[in-house]
Amino acid sequence: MLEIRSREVAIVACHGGAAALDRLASTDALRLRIAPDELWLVAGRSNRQGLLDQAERWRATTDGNALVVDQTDGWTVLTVAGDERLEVFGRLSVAPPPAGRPALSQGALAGVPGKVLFADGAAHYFVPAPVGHHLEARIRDTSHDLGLQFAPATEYRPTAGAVGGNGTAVTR
Amino acid sequence: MKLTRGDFRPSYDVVIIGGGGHGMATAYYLAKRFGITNVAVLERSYIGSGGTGRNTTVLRANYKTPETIRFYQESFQLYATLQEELDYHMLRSERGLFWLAHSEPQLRNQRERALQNQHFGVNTVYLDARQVHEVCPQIDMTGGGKRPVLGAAYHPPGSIIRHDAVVWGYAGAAQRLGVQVLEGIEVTGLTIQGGKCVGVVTDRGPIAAGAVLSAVGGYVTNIADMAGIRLPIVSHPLQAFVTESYLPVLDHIVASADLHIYVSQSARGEVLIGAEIDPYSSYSTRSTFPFLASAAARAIDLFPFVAKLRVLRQWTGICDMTPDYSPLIGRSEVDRLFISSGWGTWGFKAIPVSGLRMAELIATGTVPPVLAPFALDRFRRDRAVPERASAGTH
Amino acid sequence: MPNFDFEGRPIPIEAGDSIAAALYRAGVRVFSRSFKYRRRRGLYCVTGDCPNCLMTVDGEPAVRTCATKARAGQRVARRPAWPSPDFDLMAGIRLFKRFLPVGFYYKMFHRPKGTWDRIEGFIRRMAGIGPVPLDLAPAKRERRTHHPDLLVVGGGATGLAAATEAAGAGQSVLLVEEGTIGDQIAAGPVRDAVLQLAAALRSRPEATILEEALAIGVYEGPMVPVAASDALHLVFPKRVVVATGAVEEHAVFDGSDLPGVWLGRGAARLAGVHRVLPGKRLVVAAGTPESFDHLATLRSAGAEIVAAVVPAAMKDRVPPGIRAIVDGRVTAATGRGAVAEVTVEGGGRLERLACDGVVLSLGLVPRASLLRQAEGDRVIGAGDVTTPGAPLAAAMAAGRAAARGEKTPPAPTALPRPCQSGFVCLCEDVEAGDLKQAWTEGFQSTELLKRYSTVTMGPCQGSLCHAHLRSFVKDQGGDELRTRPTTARPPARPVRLEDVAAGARYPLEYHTALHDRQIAMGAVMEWAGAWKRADHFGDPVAEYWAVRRDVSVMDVSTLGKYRVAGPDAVEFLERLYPCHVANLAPGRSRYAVMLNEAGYLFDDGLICSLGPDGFYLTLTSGGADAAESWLRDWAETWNLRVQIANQSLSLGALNVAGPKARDLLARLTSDPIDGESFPYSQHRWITVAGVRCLVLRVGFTGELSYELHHPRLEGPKLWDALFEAGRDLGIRPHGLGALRLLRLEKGHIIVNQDTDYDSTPAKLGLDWVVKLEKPTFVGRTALERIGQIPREKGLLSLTFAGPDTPADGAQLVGVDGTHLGYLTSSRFSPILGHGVALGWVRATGGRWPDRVMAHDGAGRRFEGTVVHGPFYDPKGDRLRA
Repeated sequence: MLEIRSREVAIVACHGGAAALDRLASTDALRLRIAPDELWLVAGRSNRQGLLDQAERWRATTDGNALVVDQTDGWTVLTVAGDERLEVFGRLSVAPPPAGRPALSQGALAGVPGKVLFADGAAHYFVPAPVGHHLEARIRDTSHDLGLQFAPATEYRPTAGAVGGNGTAVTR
Repeated sequence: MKLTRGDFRPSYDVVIIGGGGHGMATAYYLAKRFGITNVAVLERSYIGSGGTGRNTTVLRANYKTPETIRFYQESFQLYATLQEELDYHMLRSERGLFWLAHSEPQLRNQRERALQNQHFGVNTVYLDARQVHEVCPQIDMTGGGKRPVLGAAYHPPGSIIRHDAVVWGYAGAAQRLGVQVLEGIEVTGLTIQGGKCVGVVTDRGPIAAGAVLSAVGGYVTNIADMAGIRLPIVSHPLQAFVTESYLPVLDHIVASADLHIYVSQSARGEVLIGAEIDPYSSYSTRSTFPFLASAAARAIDLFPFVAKLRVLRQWTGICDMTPDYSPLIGRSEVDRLFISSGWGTWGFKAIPVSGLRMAELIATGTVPPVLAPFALDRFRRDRAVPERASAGTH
Repeated sequence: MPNFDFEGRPIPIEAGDSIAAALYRAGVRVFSRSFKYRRRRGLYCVTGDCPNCLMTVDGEPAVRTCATKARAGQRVARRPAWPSPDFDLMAGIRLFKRFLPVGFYYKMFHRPKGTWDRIEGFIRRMAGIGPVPLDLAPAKRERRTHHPDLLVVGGGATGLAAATEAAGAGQSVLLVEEGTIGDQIAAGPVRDAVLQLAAALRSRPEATILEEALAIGVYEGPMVPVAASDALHLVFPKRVVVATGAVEEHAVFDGSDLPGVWLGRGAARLAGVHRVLPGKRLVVAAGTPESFDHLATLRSAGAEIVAAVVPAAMKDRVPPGIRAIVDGRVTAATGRGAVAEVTVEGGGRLERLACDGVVLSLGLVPRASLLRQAEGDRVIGAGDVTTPGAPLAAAMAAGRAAARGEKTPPAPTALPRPCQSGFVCLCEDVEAGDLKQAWTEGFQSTELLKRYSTVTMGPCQGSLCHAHLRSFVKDQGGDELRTRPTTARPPARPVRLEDVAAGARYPLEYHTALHDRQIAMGAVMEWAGAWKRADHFGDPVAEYWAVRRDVSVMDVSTLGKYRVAGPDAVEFLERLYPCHVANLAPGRSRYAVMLNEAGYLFDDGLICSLGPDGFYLTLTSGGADAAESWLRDWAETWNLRVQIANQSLSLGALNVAGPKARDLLARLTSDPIDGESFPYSQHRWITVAGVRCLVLRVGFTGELSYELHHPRLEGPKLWDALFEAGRDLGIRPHGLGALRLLRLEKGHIIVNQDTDYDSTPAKLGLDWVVKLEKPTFVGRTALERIGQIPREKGLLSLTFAGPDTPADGAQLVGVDGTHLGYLTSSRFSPILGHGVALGWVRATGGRWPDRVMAHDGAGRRFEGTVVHGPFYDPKGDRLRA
């Protein structure tokens, strides 16, 4: 049985030098290395200010030229949980599901640019907020035969760690 | 048609590189209108193997700038009598061409185009949604339920024609007048002495020439390199596909300015579908699946009945794109080297006028007024001819 | 007994029947009529490689009935003919064959003028293999993706062996088969082997089998799309084994296209699998080892074998009791509508044999279309597709080898004997004589012959006739270049558009956070690029007046928004924009345009200096994605220490415009917003209704305006607060409709509406945004050069008396009648009481006209006056309040 629900996360994007970003540590956030010069701190929505503070501290101590931007509102996050979640992924993306956990896949999702985080036993889809409704519709269209259940929105507090860069799988 | 493979003479008055429509037409008019018959057309593959044989066969004159309208209007008129002139039937058929608008900016664009065309005597009218539906009821006016058709510019003289036949017709007629058409011979260099082009080097030996015309399409930058000339051209693939033959139901040629596709049905009943150029630059003529899927999806949005029709084959051509979407035709920086290129997605319909006027330029040395706006140096002079809005996809 | 309908007749279905088999059993012999000559065509290959069995099934045309299962309730029909497909009068066209040689239409119909117009309609009505289904709704199919280690195309012995080998090695394998595995093989050792392999494979977890799944083509990657009834499967395998087998060599001789002429496998299939006798008295041309199996099948099904025509090397394989004709050739088949007699030539003798069918197995031609589409070593062929005719054990060994990545060099396949007469191309009715005729006309290569005669261009795409085309060219003396195979392109077999479009047909709309709010207020939405935006809310005129007189709110969230920071941020922007940036004090904003290297404008917006936090850039909605690439590419090219963040989607923006805008905002904030604290063309961080916003004072509409940039999700809260607080101020929302008019009254350009490819700032009357004294910026060199060239055209402001005003696009003509340009924007201004417009106008002799005439069709003419500066509030007092 597949469960899909909307999630509330906080996303703080840090733009800086690769070496400085490598040294951005956090004990309570998931660090997604989007690109060599961009890293996202991701935590539950309630920790938004906490992430901003962490990012600012990093900026002040490690890379004064960096740019920290709160991108929370720019993304809609949907979590798909259940045995068939990889099948759902295959119906939305042509990328191969990445190995290793946690892992990040970036690329086109049902025609929009998006990212899929495989962590905490589920697949978490990040798509630009203006097309969040579109992704939900596409999941319904492509995977209704798998028995989708839509559950109420909850906060998502990803397990702290790092994904991408430093050898961890990121597929594009 | 008697295409030869060997036996070329050591020199000609004019050597034309490229056995496609433009090259062949120029050869014909040089012989026919200007009495210059000591001409050779050199084609490295088979004639018409480039853009002429890969396009989607639409003839129209509904452009947006006065210079371009005049140019394509002349071409259209030449096409109208071409079959008689060459004594070759090319299955030209007037069908009427729509440019559908599904958004306010495009609606304005099409209305502008209709007014502009009318002012210059080109028959294009603006139709609102209701009128579009009356003229062509096969169109799904809801745009697949996603992008409703709001109106269109309608060009009744828009025609289709058998593309290969154009090059065969010109080739046959040119040969009857004494022009030599050589297949399987590749130009590998240009002979330039004292800033003047005096011949070509081929994979079978050198050939001297009084004048050389490069009429190759997507590969023009290769020829330009041989002369040390830089052209503002980027080559992009352009794909299309065709279905099996069915009982014809679509009489018109329908293009959508917002969906970026166009659909027509030939006399044989095959439905021909094309779309926009691939967004990357390449010389590859490999067809891709994302194109097929995307173009098919949009075609179904416009014409639901095509969903059950079967794709027979897909192919790709190369478009030499210019910054302003207008051709580059005229003298080059090298004396006696002429260039006919930058034909992007707008080359096939210009074959007769480019052939005739290029022949005139080569023969007389004077640039004909209708050709002048498309000179190669126009960008340096800030005299671009912006036609992106009407060059579109075909 | 279940049955289906065939042109009004019920046809009984037996277990395992294809539509074609059931029809043949029921006595149907004419399966279709050929494209050009309307010749009767019967079953021939029965493997899906020829066009003869194409019929309309359940309204869908061009269905291969030999490859489609018969099901109760189907409606099957041939292409309508008059009086009937069995007795098609149009076949009489054959009498005019002399006048219809190959390419005949290129030689006639252009004289006298107008002939083609009259004839084309007639020809079009004759065209096509079936009617277009206008009433069938497109099926909504989706797509799946697979990333197996190995993809095997073909579920025969070779393919199954390859898949088993790979699965055994622990690789993930996907096997696709066009039909149902084993279905088309007659009972016997081969069938047993195949079914056994399939069963074993199905039990393996590493393997997936898809049946009724057609591999459409091999694209770069390799990527192989597979069309199945449930979905479109996109397969991205590491390697591919193509085991699509071979098709029997097409037989071409006089009368070879008559019903009753069979390819060996086809006849054997019908007899052995479907238990339907192709004919009672058969002549068999057995030229391959397997053809003797076919002969045995036919015999045990009850056919009398009149004679077996065999090459000398195989004469010992002819079973006793059957007459053998050694080293003979079938050179003609005759009969009225079906075979009644064949002619066999051999050893100088000619013999006529009465029969009701001739079965030919002359050789095997690889079905190599997929292989030929592929490039590189990751796509390998095995089995009949590379070494046609190998026995079962060898075929399976080849499959296993291919699965291990071992490439077998393809066996050189001999081209068929050049044909002297007969139908070479069944799809297009091209005869051997047509090819000869075309050759003499100068079409002397496979490519030219193909295009001129249309040979190989029909539904079978050359499966049968391509080899004959090459054989012909070679026989005529063509060299390697001329004889080369024509390019193989996808699809391998014709596939429906809805199948390839599976998963690609969906609506995609970008919504702002105010989307639902606006619709609830009656917004009429329109497409603006990929976004849906409000055009108006039911009363565009009232919305316009609300901006001019009261206060109004517009959702401008679609704007491009960028943060730029870093030690080189100022240097970066100085190089990127033509205006000064270094002197922009914190808190101030500046209108700026973006130029490309040719000096042409492609975007515009604001630069806001955030002080130590860097800069905030706004750009047009339409250019948002391209702008990000532009910014990043230049930052990288110049190797500057600058960071760029795209906030276009994480921030929303609301424009509060009108003389009462300040009054409204004052009700929702305690931050200072009076004119002195917050002047025009500056920005401040202001908390509005509890939401911290970057507020920009802008002037696009010409009224006092505050653009509230806020975190996207706070948009609805701000919207609600504004409309609640502004109720007694006459507040309304406004959309693009009103905006286009409001900005026009100020003479503000809309990029891509009023600008063209080659619009320099000077041509647009925006000289002031360019500071040529700057040492460098993108486009500077071009502008300097262009500045020396007399300007030939410019965007001018024009007024018209009204109340009727010319439409957008109206053509502009000088007093002397010369064409000058056209209007890009034109509206009647309610507040000014006359028409206002922007239009491109050519200079005449370096001078601009004072007056122009606008023509907008239907003979309407308007006299326009050229003016300078904004039409409304030229000094900008209202903006700067």
